Parts: sequence; C-alpha cells; structure tokens
Amino acid sequence: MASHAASHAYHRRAMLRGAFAGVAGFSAAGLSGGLGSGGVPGLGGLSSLFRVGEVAVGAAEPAAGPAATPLKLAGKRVIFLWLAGGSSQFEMWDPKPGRETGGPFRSIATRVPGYQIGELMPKTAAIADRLAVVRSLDTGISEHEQAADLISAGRPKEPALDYPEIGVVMAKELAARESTLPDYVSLFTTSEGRRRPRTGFLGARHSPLLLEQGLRPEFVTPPEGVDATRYAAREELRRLMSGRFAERRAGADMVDGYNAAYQRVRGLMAADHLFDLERESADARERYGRTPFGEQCLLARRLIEAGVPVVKVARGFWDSHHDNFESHRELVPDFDHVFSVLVSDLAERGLLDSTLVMVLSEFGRTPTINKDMGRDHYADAWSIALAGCGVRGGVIYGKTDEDGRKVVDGRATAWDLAATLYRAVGIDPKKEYHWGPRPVPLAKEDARPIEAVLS
Amino acid sequence: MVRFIVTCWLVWGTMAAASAADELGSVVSRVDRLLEQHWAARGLTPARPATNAELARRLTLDLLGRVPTVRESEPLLKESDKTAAAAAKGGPLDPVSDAHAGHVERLLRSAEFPLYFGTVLDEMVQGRMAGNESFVDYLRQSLATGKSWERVFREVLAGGAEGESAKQAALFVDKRVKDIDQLTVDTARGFFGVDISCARCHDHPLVADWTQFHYYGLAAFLRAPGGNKSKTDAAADSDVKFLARNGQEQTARMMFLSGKPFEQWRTAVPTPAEETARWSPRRRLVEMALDDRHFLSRSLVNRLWEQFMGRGLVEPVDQMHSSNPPSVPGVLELLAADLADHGYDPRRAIRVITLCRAYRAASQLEEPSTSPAPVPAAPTAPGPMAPGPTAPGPLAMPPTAQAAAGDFAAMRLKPLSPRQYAVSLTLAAGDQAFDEPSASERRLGRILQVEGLTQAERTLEMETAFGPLLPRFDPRTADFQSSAREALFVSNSEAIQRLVAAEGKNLAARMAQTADDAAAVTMAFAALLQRPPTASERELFGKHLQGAAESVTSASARSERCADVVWALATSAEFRFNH
Amino acid sequence: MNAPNAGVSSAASSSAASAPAAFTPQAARLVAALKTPQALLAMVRDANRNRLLGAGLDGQLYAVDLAIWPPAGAANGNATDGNATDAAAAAKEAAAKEAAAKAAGGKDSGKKDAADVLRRDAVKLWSLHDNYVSSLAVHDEVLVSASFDRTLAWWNAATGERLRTVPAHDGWVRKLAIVPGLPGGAAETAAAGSWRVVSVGDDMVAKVWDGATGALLATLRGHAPRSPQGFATALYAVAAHPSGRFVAAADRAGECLVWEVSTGAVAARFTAADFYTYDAAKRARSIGGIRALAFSPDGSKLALAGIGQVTNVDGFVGPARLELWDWQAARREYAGQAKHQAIQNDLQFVAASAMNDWVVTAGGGDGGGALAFWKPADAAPVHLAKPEGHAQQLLVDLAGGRLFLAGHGGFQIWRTN
Repeated sequence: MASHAASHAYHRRAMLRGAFAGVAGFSAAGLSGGLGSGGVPGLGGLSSLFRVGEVAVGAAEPAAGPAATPLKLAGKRVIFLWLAGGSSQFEMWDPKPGRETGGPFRSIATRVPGYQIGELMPKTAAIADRLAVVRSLDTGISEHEQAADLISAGRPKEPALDYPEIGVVMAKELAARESTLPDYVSLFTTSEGRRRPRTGFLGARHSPLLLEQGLRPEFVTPPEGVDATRYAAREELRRLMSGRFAERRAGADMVDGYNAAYQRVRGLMAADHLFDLERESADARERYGRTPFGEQCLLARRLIEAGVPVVKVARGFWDSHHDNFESHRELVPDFDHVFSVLVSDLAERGLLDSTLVMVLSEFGRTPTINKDMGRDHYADAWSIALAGCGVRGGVIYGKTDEDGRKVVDGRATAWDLAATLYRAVGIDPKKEYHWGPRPVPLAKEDARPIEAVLS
Repeated sequence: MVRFIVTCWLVWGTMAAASAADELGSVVSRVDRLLEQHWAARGLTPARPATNAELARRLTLDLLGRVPTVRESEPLLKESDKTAAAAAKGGPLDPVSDAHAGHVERLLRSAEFPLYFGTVLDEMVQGRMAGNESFVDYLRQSLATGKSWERVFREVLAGGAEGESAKQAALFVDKRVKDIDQLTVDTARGFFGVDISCARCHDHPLVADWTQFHYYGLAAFLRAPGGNKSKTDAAADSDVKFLARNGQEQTARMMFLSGKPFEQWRTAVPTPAEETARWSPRRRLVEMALDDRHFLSRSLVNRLWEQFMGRGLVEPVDQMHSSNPPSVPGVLELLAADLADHGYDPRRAIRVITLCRAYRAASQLEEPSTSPAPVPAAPTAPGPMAPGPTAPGPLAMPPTAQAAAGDFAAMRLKPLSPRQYAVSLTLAAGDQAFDEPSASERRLGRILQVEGLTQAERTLEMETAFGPLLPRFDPRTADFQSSAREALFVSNSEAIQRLVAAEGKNLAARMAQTADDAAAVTMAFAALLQRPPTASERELFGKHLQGAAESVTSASARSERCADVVWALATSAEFRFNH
Repeated sequence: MNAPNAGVSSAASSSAASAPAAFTPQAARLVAALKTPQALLAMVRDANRNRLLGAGLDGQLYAVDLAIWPPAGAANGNATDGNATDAAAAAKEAAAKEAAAKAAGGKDSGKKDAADVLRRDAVKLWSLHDNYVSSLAVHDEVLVSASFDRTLAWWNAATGERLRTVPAHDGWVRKLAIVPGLPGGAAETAAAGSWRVVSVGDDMVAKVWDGATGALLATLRGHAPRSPQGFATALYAVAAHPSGRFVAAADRAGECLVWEVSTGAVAARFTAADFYTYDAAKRARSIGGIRALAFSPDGSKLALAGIGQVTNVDGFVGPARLELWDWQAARREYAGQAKHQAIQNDLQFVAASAMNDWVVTAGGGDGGGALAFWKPADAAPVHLAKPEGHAQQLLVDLAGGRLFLAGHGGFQIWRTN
C-alpha cells in the first residue's frame, strides 16, 4: 500500500466513483464489485458505502465503462464572483437615470446596441458584447443569510435537507480525477460577513480550500527539522490509522472528509507556487491593480489556468443601507476595472470559452432611496451578469419597469438561474444525486434554464 | 459553593439514593423502549453496546471536554477484553453497567465538569457570540452551584442573580441590547430552539408557525427603552410597530411564541414594587415561557441530546416547529417533561441521556456478514399509508447501515470541538502532571470531598496556552467540514510540532526512554487512544520505531521517531473524533 | 424642559428678548415641517425675500416663506411671498399651533411627533438642474446652485431667470460657498460689484469663481486623487475664511487643506484621520469623510464635522464627531463625539454669548436624525435633539431664536427660545 502513496489520492477518488457507479441503488453486485475492485484496505472506500444518515452520496453516473469526466465537462472552469451584501442594480446593470429611483449616476452606451449601463462601468461597457446580463431576477427573499443560501444553492431551504452551494456542485462535476489541485478554492479575506461555501448533503469531503487569511494558504512548508522522508513516513502512519478507523463507523462521511483534507495537504504544498502572485509579470499585476479584489481575481485566473476547476472570489460590503452612492462610487469602479480585465485576460489567453465567469449577489437594492441616502435589500427585481463558457455574449435578458420596481419581462427565479449556470458549463440540471433513497436533481424540479443567455 | 453541592449530594445520596436511582432508571427504560420501538418499526438492529473503555473515553470527552488520562483509563484497559466479549452479546435493552452509571455520577460531580460544560452551554446559548469569559464563568458557576436552567434563563433575561454574577448574566442582553433584532433572534434560538429571523421581514415562507406577529411579539418583550437599532419603531409603550410586506404598518403586542398574547397574563403576574421598568417586560417573557414549559425544556433537552448524540432529535436544533418533527417519536416530549418535572436540572437530563441505550451504543456498525437477518418493517397498519421505501431487497445493506443519523441506532462520530481537541492534544502528548496532585491538593480534595480540583486548576491554566490554537481547528458544526487549513496547520505548524516533539517528561520523551519498542507503542496508544494496539498496529508502529536501527541509531533519531508516532496517532481520525 | 422665558407667550411677547436668551439648545423644538417630494441636500436663506430656498435630489428649487414663523419676540409679520391671504392664514395657523404647544407645556420639547407641528408642502419654484443639486448660495439678488451634473448655475433669485451655466468640475460638484470680500490679490484691481464663489468637486480641486462674471479665478490643488487604499475619494466640504483671504476644503480620507486664494499657495494642511474608517482586515470598504467645514467667526479655528470610527460600514454606525483645529498651527484643539450614531453633514458656529461659542451640527444615521449642540469644552454635545429624518443642511438664526434644517422630508423650522 505504501507503494501507491504518491498517487493514491486520485486512486481513491477513482475507486470511490467506480464503486458508486456500480452500486447505484445499492445492488449487491455493486457492493461486491466495490469490495472486489477496491483491494486497497484502509482507504475508507468501504466505509463510504456504509454510512449512517447520508447513505452513500453518489451521483447516478452511467455504470458502464470506466468512470470518466464526460467529454462535455472536460476542461470547463468557473470563476464565481460573489458581491456579498447585495450590490445595487441601479448603479450597475440596470440604471434608471433621471427617475426618482435612479439616483445621481447617469448611464452610458455599451458595445451592445441599445444597452445602457451605469456610468461607473465604462470598462465593462466596452466588453458588454462578451456578457449576458439578466435584469429580471425575482427571488423574493431579502434577508442576507436566507437570500445568500437561496442564491448560492439555487433552491429554497429545506429543514430536512441541506443543499450544497452551486460552486461545490460544479467543483464536484468539473474536477478532473487525475488532478493534484484542489477542486475548489474560495477566497474571502476580510473577516466580517464571511460565509463559507456549504457542502450540504454532499459532505465534508467536498469542502473548498478556503483562503481567508491572505492570498496564500498558510503552513505550506514543513516544520523545521522534518525532512521529506520523515514527513512522508509519519503521514503514512496517520493515513493507515485513520483509514482503518473509518471502517463501518456511523458518520464515516466526516472521517472521509477529514482524511481527504490530509490527502490534499501534499498537493497543496506542491501547488504553493500557484498562489504566488510574484510569479506574475509586473504588467499583469499592474493590469489587475493592487486592490484586494484585483489581486484575488488575478489569483483566480492563475488557479484556473493551472487547472483548478472552480474559484470563488467574494467581495464584500455592498450592503449600503446608508450612503449608497458614496459606497458604489468606491466599489463599482474597482469592480468594473477588475472584472473587465479578468474577462479580457481570459479571452486573450484562450480560456474564456471554457471558463464561466458569474457575478452573483444575494439580492439587489431597493428602488426607494431611504432617508440616509441608502438603498435597502431588494429581491423583487434585480440583476446578475455572466460571461464566458456557454454564455451567449451581448444578450441583455429581461426587463424591469421604468422605475426598476418590478420585473416586466423575463421573470427568473433563483432556481432558473442555477439551472442556467449548470447548463452553461455542460452540467445537466436534471442530473440526480441521491440522498439516502431520495433522488435529488441538481436544480429544482421546476427550474427553467434561461435559454436566451446560453450559447 | 462546591462544598454545598457535595453536601447536598451526600445527603441526597444516603437518604434517597435507592428510590431516586429507581426513578431515574424508569425514565431511562422508557426512553430505551421508545427507541427500541422505533428501531423495530424501521427494521433496524442497533449497534452492539460500547465497551466500558469505549464509554469512558466518550463520557470523559462529553462531560469534561478531554480524553481520559493514562491513570484514569488504565484500570479499564485491563478489563476491556472481558467487557468487550460481554458487550458483544448485549441486546437492544441490555442493562446499564454499574461501572458506567458510577462513572457518569463521578464525572458530574468532578470540579472539571462545570468548567468544561459551561463552555458547552455558552455555545448553545450565545451562538456566534460565544466566548465571553465573564458569561462563561457565570454559566460555570451556575453549574457548580446546581442552578436550575429555569433560573439561568430568568437571570440572563430578567436579572435577579446575586452579586457579581448579576452583571455577568446580564451580558447576554447587554451585548445585544443595541440591536433588538439580534436579541430577538438569539433569544429565540438560544432558549427556545426556534429560528424566527425569516419572520422579521415577512411571515416565514416555509414554516406556518412563524408570522411577523410572532417575531415582533417576542421583540416587544425584549425591547429595552430607547437606544435600539432596529427597523422597529421603539416609540410606543411596549408594542412594536413594523412594516408588513404589503407596506402596511402593523402593531405587534407582546406575544409569546406559543401565540398567547400577554394580555391574558397581565393580571396573573404580580408586579413587585421593586420591579424596574428596565426588566419588567423581559420578566413577563420569562413568566410566560416558564408557564408554557414547552419551548424552554424542549430546546434544552434537544440541544443536550445533540451534544451527546451528535445530532438532535429535532435537527437542526434551532428549527423546532410543527413541520419539522423529531426523528424518533416520543423521546423529546418524555425528556422535556422529565426535565421540567425535575426543576430544570441540566444534570438530570444529562444522566438520562448518558445512561440510555442509544448513548451506550458502539459507533461501529454491524459487520455485514455477522449481522442478524434484517427484521422487515412491520407497520401495524400496512397499506397505501405505509411510508418510505418498501421492504429491503434480498441483498440489502445490513440493518444498522441503513439507519439514518436520526435513528440513533449507533453512536454517530462527533468531531472534537476545537477546545476538546486542543485540551486533549496538550494533555495526551504532554507530561503526566495533569492528574498528579501535590500533597496539599490531595489533602484539600479530601477535606472538601471534591474530585478533580487539581485537573480543573490545570485546565484553567492551560486555557491561555491553547487559546491561540482554537481558531486553527475546524469548528464542531452540524455539518462538520474538515478543511485542508486544519490539516496544513497540524502538519506544518511549529506550534503542533512543539507539542509532539520529545521534551522533558512528555509522551514522546517517555517513549524515547523506553527501550522496548512494543512497550513504547503501547504507551503511546494508552495515552492517546486509551486502548492497547492491535497486533498489526504494534507491528506497524514498532517497525517505524526500529527504522533507524538499520542505520546508525542516535538518541535524537529515536526521539524524532517517537514524536512522529505521537503525531500520527494524535492526527488520526480515532483521536480527532469522539466515538 | 421649558426655556427660562417659557412664561412669555409668543403672541404677547412684543418686547424682543436678548439674543442669547433666544438660543437655548435645551428648548429646541420642531414647530413646522415643510415637505418636498424628495430629500433636500442644500438650503440657503434668501434675505431679500425673507425665505428659505432648498434643493436636492429632484433638481427643483423649493421655498419656505419665513414670515409665517417670525423671529422670537417679533409680532407675526406679513407674509411676503405668493398669495398674501393664504400666507396670512398660514401664519395664523402657525401661531395657533405654537400657542397650543406652549399651553400644553411640560412636554418633551424635542419630541418629534408632536401633533403641534405644522405640516405643509414647500412651494416649488423652478427647475435648477437635471441631477442632484448639492449646494446653494445667495449673493444679493443672485442665486448660485451646484449640481452632480458637474456644473454651477447662476440665477436671478427673484425671477428664476438663468443667468449662466458653467461646467465647473470633472465630477460631481459637492459644495459651494461665497467668499467674503472682493476678488483679486495684489495684482488685480477689484471691480465694483464683484464677488466670489468657491466650489469643490470630485476632480478633487477647489475652484474660485468670479461671482459677477462666472470667470474662473483660481484652481486650488493638493488633495490626493485616490483614497489611501487606491479607491475613488471625494472632496466633500469647503469653507471661506471670514477675511476672504483663505479657503479650506476637506476630503473623504480626512485631509484638510487651506489655501491663500490670491496666490493659490497651500497655507495649511493636516489630516483628521478619525473621520475616515477603513479596516482592511475586517471589511475592505471605506466610510466617513469630513462632511462639513467652517471657520470660527474670528478666523482662528477651523471646525470639522462628520462621523467617528464606524463599526459597521453598511451604515453610519459610528459617533457623531466634531473637531476644532488651530489651522495655522495644524494642531487639533478639540475632538468631541456624541453617543448618538450619525454622520454630521453641516455645522455652524454660533456666538451665543461673549464668553462661549457654540457649534451646532446636523446630520443623521443609524441612531436617526441628529441635531447636536456642542460647547467645545465638553467631550460630548451639551444637547442633542432629534430632527425628523436625516438632516443635510443647517442654518441657525441666533437672534431670531430659529433654526432651519433641510434634508430627508424637506425643510424643518425649529425654535430655540
């Protein structure tokens, strides 16, 4: 067993997938097949099938043939930009200049004929032909936590079933088995308002690598005095002990997640250079800019280019209950610059066609300007933007009324949006996971992808 | 104060022990019967009972927040083979062993119990705002003096605690008083097990129980005069005005979560002359909640169950409402009534839970080959109403493995909380001074008749040392997620390396001084995992220690290898989880 | 809570009270609210027509006839604006309301939803700009308006005739002020009838204009073009020295510059860092800024108002803050904060007595509207009244015992006697 040490992490994943594929529905054939082909004791493969509660969570993938990432998913990537707190559609994607609700900013023409964007976004206006903007979200919930759960999971909360975040599902679906890299890297480097992507019923082993203290994972070099041989030997002891323990435990999914975290350590230590922005050219660094959001997006591009399937960058503090226009004067130009550079850079590197860039938020902001010159939470009519993989550029979908109070055309729900995002990267929204005996489609049953924005 | 409980305990112990134990036993049996019925109905066979050694580790972690020391676990190790054999034969309703029952009582009486369990209650009540030392100490003191949960609830929300502790208790409200919404939501979550935050902006979209009137009705009790940050208008007397989603302004009168408005109680509650305006509405809330009994007792019992079983009877623990029933019928109501009938004594509920069969179940599921044949589900009223999947197929999974976490047919693994992990790691890898009292400490313990004084004092001292470690470990959340961050920290930080490296009389140093490899391995297993190594483990780790024998063995090389054994065991899942 | 002279009924008081007696902060009470459809950002007193002018989000000019609320001690005068009968009726109603309020007595004078407050709509005059109007100034018969449309506009205050529009700044024009005295330094010959205006904008410069011709006289530079973190910043406040020799401007990051107008040289420069909140580790977004500036009547001090350190950048969740600086020495002489959580958007020195100057500030935020009365010896305001909504502009009529606010909801008329 020690001989597979170097590659076993991927092995294990492959084996698990194979096993799951075989035991869809928990047939005896699958069970014995899993045991037979496992042949590697102590890796937790068996235990994964014997968990109490979230009985094996396995995608109902085709059982025939060696499990492989479907061709249409190969090489697809996602950069998930999350504007935490709720950015204002009025100051960005859906301006209403001159109206009482419109605020002081004017609108400007874009490369898409007839589409006017907020004046704070001239650089985005210049790449609007690469974007699809949905201006007709009506998602109902206007409280942060619940709305963030709704949008990021793409479906309403159920007390009994905890749904994973869209990014987690995408990472699971898009991850290449032979990769040594993390499937999902999530950045939120400010301490307030931080939300970690939920893995929900998919379990702890789908947890993203969180970058919360800075742009580089901490503790990626061995402690002093522990050389490579010693390091490998003690980790091997740990792995054997832990793997044995997982067998037939109630709650083995947690042990799987725990062991998976250690299995990722080596890969992360080896991938340390990917997190080193000093390796980027001075031009690239200047181009993205030295703001935290700029650096995070440059890092996202670096990771995507290296093969990390999903990277999320959360940019906070859009929750402008007071002084909305001042805060958007600060935040939107930074977003405009970094977002347009990111999309252009991906395009120049030939990555845009295979990389979905999605700009989401928990909700938009109220048409009414409150007494403190702020805008409050508003989920009845707001906007998001997409670019890249699977997205039809230059489509401005949906419409709100002249004051931006109501959707008048193309109303879309949180689940419609989720289905659209899955479709964009080639994931079938109707695909089912299993939670115990219950089949759970990726997107809510009545979700309708917004075909118009898909290429 | 310690003396006080000890005295009570002794009096109670001598006079009423027999009948009280019987009475406790009957509640435990009723819980066991309900679970047995549930298992039978679901066609499940529960996991075998855990051995005494397994139970001792579990219980020490659950009640004292740490693994047992070598001194504590040694006696159990010797009998473990015997009890394991006996345990394997146990049925669903096998009796509680005297050893386990005695252990529960001993730990509940230990000076370490309030010290640790105060932090547990703090997290239950304070949620994200947990960790305020003064408030934790208030809860610790409450546990040490045997305060009822009813009284803690009253003191926290309505004041009335004596002396210094009044200020400490008031911290829950004081820290939130500027934000009435936070106070309302946290009071509902912390004490009543319900999350009504949705109902702030609109009637709860998914739970019919919660309307805006529930939210603002509760807020009306909690609103302090002036200074609140809220969407509510604090001008009126005690009613709260709010904007309903249709834009209409509504007025909410003080109303408890049960839906009872306060008016009906106005005459029933005497208003003491000394009652200050500041506390008065909250005192009314306390009276109503205690009269209701339901919310307060169910929430505490469910949270304690979650603490000990790894999952609440109602899950999530802050979603106790009509459309989210308990996963096992009857148990929650039984425990809640028992708690209320016994003066809201948290120790009472802890006794019942830790003695019941579900708590005593092993965490390991039955082997497929050795499990009994599945008992087919036998609903009394079969027909179209029969829920769930049909009877298992001929080659179905073994019964326990089919169980859901909410069936409690096996002890679900519980990830150690950061605090449990840090204390246990420091303790198990460290020297043995922790439970080595000095002569005077021993004497004091005898005089006061208190066990664990030394340990409690050492733990308190350790708190500052392990404090910085806590945020590095993954929190014990309902959906526990292991992060690569913790793994990187534990693998690569100097802080962890210092803990495991041989120094002074710590574990690695003691191992290094033990010439016999097998003995050194046994020593490490005993300290960290409270069990002897299996034959294959002894061989594997023995080989690791020998490794250098082939080359030139230096003392430092052996020390390093010992440290690596300590590290490997301390980072194994067996150590990281309570099982 | 009643003022010492509360026994004198307003109708009967024909003998004027002394000026200081007309300014009793603790007696400050709202007597009238004149509604506008959208919030006002700017207000000025048009003395020639005894009226308040205000403008804001909708770009329209609104007026309030002050004859309806005569100064303390004066008999109810004749309304001078619009329909005389209507104005007289309004004045009668206003007097009755105030008398009723006095009669009720003993009530909390600051109580905001008293039924005794007269509520009317402000009179709409004409359209100024098609974007937010941020500031107004009046010089004799000329009204000057500043707007987020980047221009300054000159108007005949009596007729509403547009005299000229000048593209003023590359960015929103935030504030303007009249510079006392005549234009020109040593080199320039002062033309009779000339006057000057100073404006600040988001191009981060202050510009001095010839009030009579609209000609640009000077561009005053020195503020950083970006915030310390590299984001957009703003030049919120401007003030002119009583001598007319200097003007001062202050920005979002708390930097304050004073220039000598004639040479454009920087005469003083200092940073009041506590007005600006940016916590990179926790939040990575800024809030705050110096929102109001004023020189003391003797010209020795510069007062700065805004908000102290903000605990939650989603809103004005920080203490109302006032600082006084000896600007020539670049030395802070006073810093005061209120418990009340609000930003202060305007401030005014009030020489209420020979011994003690008051500073009055107004604003709003998390704690609601704020009208704060400071004696810059005390660490916190001596008195804090709560206006309706968030106040943007403030005018104290010391001798008349009146105080005017503009902001959310429109105009507010307060009595301070």
